[in-house]
Amino acid sequence: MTPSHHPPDELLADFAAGTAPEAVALFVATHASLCAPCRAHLAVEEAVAGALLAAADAAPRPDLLAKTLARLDTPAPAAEEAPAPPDPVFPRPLARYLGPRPAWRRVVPGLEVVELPVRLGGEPVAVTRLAPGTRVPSHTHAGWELQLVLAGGYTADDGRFARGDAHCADASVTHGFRVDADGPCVALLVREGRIVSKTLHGRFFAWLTGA
Amino acid sequence: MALPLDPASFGWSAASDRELVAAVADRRDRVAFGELFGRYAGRVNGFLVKGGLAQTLADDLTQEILLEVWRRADRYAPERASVATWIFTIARSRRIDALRRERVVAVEPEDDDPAPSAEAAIDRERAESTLRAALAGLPEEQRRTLDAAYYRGRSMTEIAEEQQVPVGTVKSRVRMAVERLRGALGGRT
Repeated sequence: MTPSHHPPDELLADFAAGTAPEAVALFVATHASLCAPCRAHLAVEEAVAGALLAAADAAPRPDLLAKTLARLDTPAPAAEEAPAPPDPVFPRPLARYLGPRPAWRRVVPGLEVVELPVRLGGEPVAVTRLAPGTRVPSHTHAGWELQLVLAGGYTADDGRFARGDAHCADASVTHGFRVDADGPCVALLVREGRIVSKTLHGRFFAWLTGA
Repeated sequence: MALPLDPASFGWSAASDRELVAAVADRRDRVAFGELFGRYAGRVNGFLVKGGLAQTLADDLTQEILLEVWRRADRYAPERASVATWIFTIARSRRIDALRRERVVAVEPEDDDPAPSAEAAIDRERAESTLRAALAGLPEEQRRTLDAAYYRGRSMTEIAEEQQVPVGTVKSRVRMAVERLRGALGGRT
């Protein structure tokens, strides 16, 4: 099923141009692995980039040809990473970061996390698992908050989010949401800065705000 | 892929990019590779240097990128993208790796996209020349902005500083320009 919510154009553009930070690239690639329309959008931007390359005003480098020709028979470097075995929850780009046995850590009742070895600014990228029915209180953000649903779903002020949906908010957005009652919600979470709590749910936000 | 006319009989300079890649893939043709090199090595080198790499590193990487073109010619899919786009994606990965020492993350589709039709390769070549003409016909500030974003690899903030405009204006220019060019590709890739 095609996701209903997608990353903003500027994040897709950064990914296509190769200028997205690794954490954002991971988010976009994981969403796009589940979303044919976004793959099509990326392909358009790559076609534009290819046309720009073909039209670029750059001096030819015939001096490099002889060196390259001399290397045509050298053996190729070691084989690429073997593809990860398919997983019902974690698309391959993300599975490569998680490894075969992700180490879930219980932060507070209702919230478990796996932190990944990649950061955006000071914040580690994480995969979260929220218990059924959990209500995440209203909050805003110091920078981007990018959340990609991988299993289960939730309802927020700005709509319903299920597998493949990208929920992207910045400092202009204040929101909260409630996890569906029929199962846990697993999501990829990329934060650029601290989450700012609008309520006194201190313990819940201890991990999210880095307190 | 059998070619109806053998471009080698009238010189590779008249061959299309796709014909050159096919000759490399099918026959390991070094003369065809040399022609492809002549078309793209300088531009790839410019892409790397303008993206922030030192000239000596860019020279090494240019060779490696064209080597990868040689090694992976059999995996090029003409119905999916132009040769220029294919070379761009190889160069993009190398630039990310060299500039930021970061893992290069690739999209890995869970569901297969429908296989493009046999006509798709012809449609695509036609669409690409329309795209190139449309690119040349863009308003100057849109073209400059696209070049900064996709060829020189500048962030939106950097482009805003260069052009002395708000970041929002840069984002709009990119969005509007891409939308306009999408029309040239017939709305589908």
